[in-house]
Order: sequence, then C-alpha cells, then structure tokens
Amino acid sequence: MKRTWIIVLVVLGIIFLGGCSSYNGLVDKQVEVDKEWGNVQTQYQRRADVLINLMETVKGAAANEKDILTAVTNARAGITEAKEAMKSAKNPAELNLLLQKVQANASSIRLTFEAYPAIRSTEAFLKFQDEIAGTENRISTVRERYNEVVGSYDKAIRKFPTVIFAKLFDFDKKEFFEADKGSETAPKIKF
Amino acid sequence: MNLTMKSVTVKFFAVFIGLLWCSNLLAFDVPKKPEGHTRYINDYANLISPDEENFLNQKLQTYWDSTSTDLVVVLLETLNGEEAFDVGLKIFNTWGIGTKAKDNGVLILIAHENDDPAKRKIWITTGKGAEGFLPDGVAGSIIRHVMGPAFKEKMYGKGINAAIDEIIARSKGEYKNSEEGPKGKAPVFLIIILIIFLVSFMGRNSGTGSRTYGRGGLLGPALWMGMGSGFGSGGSSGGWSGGFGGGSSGGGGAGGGW
Repeated sequence: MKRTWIIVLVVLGIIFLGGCSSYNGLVDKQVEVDKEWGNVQTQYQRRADVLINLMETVKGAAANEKDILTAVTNARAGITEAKEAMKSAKNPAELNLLLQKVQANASSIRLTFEAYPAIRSTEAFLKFQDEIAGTENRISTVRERYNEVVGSYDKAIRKFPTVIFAKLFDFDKKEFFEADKGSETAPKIKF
Repeated sequence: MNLTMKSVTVKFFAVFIGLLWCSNLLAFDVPKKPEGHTRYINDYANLISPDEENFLNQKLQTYWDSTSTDLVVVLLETLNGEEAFDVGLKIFNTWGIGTKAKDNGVLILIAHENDDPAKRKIWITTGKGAEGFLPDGVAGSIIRHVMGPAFKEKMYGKGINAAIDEIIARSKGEYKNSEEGPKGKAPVFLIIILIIFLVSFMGRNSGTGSRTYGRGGLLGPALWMGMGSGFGSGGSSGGWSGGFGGGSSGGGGAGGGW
C-alpha cells in the first residue's frame, strides 16, 4: 500500500517537473518575443525621428516661404503623433498602419524639394538620405529577427505537451510581419 | 473556416521559407571566416598590392589592440546580383565582426563588378556599438568624399587607408580593449610541458622494472610531440589574434557607388 503511494507521488512529481520546465520554456520564448517587439518599436520610432529631423532642415532652408513652413509644421506634428502612438502598438498590423501615417506626412512635403532643388544637393540632405535608407534597412533586419522568434514561439505553443500549458496559462499566438506586396523591405520614401 | 485559414498561412510560410532557403543556396556564398593577424583585409578581387595589404592589416591590428574594435575590409569581384546591403550584413553576422558585448564592428564591403562598372558598390555595415561614432550619414559621406574619388582613380589601397584613418579618428576614446586573450594560457602550457618532461625523466631514472621504464619512456615523448605541435600552432600567431568576437549588426550603415 505504501509503495503504491510512493509510485503515485513520484509520477506526479515527474509530471509537475516536466510541466515546470515546459512552462518555463514558454516564458523564455515569450520574453524573447517581447524583447524583439521592443526592438521593432524602437526602429520604427527611429525612422520617425529621422524624418522629424529632416523636417527641421527643410524648415531652415525654406524660412521665407510661409506656405511651406505651414506644410512642414503640420507634417512634423503628424509624424510626432504617430511616433507617440507607436509606443503602445500591440501588433505588426497596428505598427505598420502608424508607419504609413508617418510616410504619408513625410511625402506631403515632397513638393518642397521640387521647389528647392538647392536643398537636394547639400551634404546635409545627402546624409539624411543615408539615414533614411539606414532606417529602412534596420526595420527590415529587426522585422526578420522578430519573425524568427515569433516562429519558434508559435511552434512551441502548438506542440504537445507544451500546448496544454500554453492553453492553461493563456499563451496567445503572436502575429508575424507579413511581407509587403511586391517587396519584403520597409516601404521606401523617395524625395 | 478559421482552421483552414491557419493551415493556408502555415503552408504559405513553409513555401516562403523554402524559397528563401533555395535562393540562399544559389546566391552569394560568404567566404570562409578569416583568422589571425591578416583577418582585417580580405582582398578576393586582387585590387590592392601585398605591401598595402600588410600595411593596412598591421594598422588594423594595432587599432584592435588598443580599442577592441574590429574594422574589416572585404573586396569582392562580384555580388552575384545580390544587394550590397544584404551581402554586407550576411558577412558581418556570419563572421561575427566586433565583440559580442559591444557590437563594435565595422565592415567595409567593396564590390568591383569587373563586367559592369555601373553596378560597382561600396557598403559600410556598422554594429550597433559602432553606430555612435559612425552614423549612417557619416558612413555615406566617407564613401562619397573619401573612397569614391580615390577608387575612380583606381587607387584602392589609398582610398581604403584614408577611410580607415577617418573612422579611427572618429572612434577615438569610444572603446578600450579589455579583451582577455589566451595569452595567459602560454605559461600553463609551459608548466604542463615541464611536468611531463620531469615525469618522463623521473620514470626513466627511478624505474627498475621494464614496465615503469616503458610507461615513462613511451608516454613521455608521445605527449611531448602532441604538446609540441599544439603549442607550435598556437605560438606561431603570437599572442591573441584568433578571430572576431561574435558581434552582430542590426542593419546600420550606408552605401554608394564610384
């Protein structure tokens, strides 16, 4: 009789330990996903920052044109607003929508550059183009990394026996960044 | 309905990843990771002379010794139609340029493209820890104003040297070398060899039976040779010069043509 109890306890212990380790494994994976998500948010916001700085340069160059100044001020406000909203974005779709808002605001002042060809050839402007291209590259790199960890997390929460603990402790499926139609990189801005 | 949607998505991803993998097989192969004192200049396109290569390798080794910053140059004949950015990132992360803790590596990739000069590309890839002293805009202007003009005159070594000087000047004071190389291992090696030496001789002298003689006399020299060859290969490179420190890049940097 005693022996049966011991066996039952041992089996329960093994199940408990196994559960702990697979639960802990899930937590590790989730932490990894959250970390990469933070990196993605940082890079999206960085892009907004670069564009805000670009607006400032344009403002300086077109100081005498009232219309342009108003346009730039509005665009800057729109970008800043979207950037703030990025901090609380929960999933790739939300974040991409905000990025689109940033882009739309930035391209609304494209006409300015057409009116001031002199701005384009300055070294400051060329540097900004490097910075903008750099943010695009960083975004696509960080997205790839995010997709990798999400892939491994999503796989884990669907596998047996981990799936039991995932269901038990509400580990939800995370969304990927889908490749944009026609291109796998961040949407490009051309000035 | 939801379930079929899911399985379609999964299939889509499987195909997508499969395609990516295939395209990786066809596309650019990252060259073997270089080691030792000559790991900084990797001229696969034969654009710079051996003298220049030596000079630059020495300069970059000295730079690494004082700052632990890996500044690596790769010259290729062609990118095989791939984007310079992608190739740069692939080489950077496969080789692990820069130290893992600081990610302070810089890679200058130069693709000569003999057949199509219009495709010639320079790409500077920076690790996260190098973005501070070398922001994308500065990397771009080094390409535009330093390397580009020199490369147009076919003075590759000179252009690279000037770019390196510029980067070194900008990074002054950013990092100090606190890397612990396996220098400390050399004395341990010597001690082990000394012990084996002593043991093998003691075995020879104190042993009266043939067994003891055999153990000391045979094992000793055998270990000797093993140690000798191991030590020789480690010693020939002199000090810590092994390889890169496992750094990675998040996609920073800039590119241009010439």
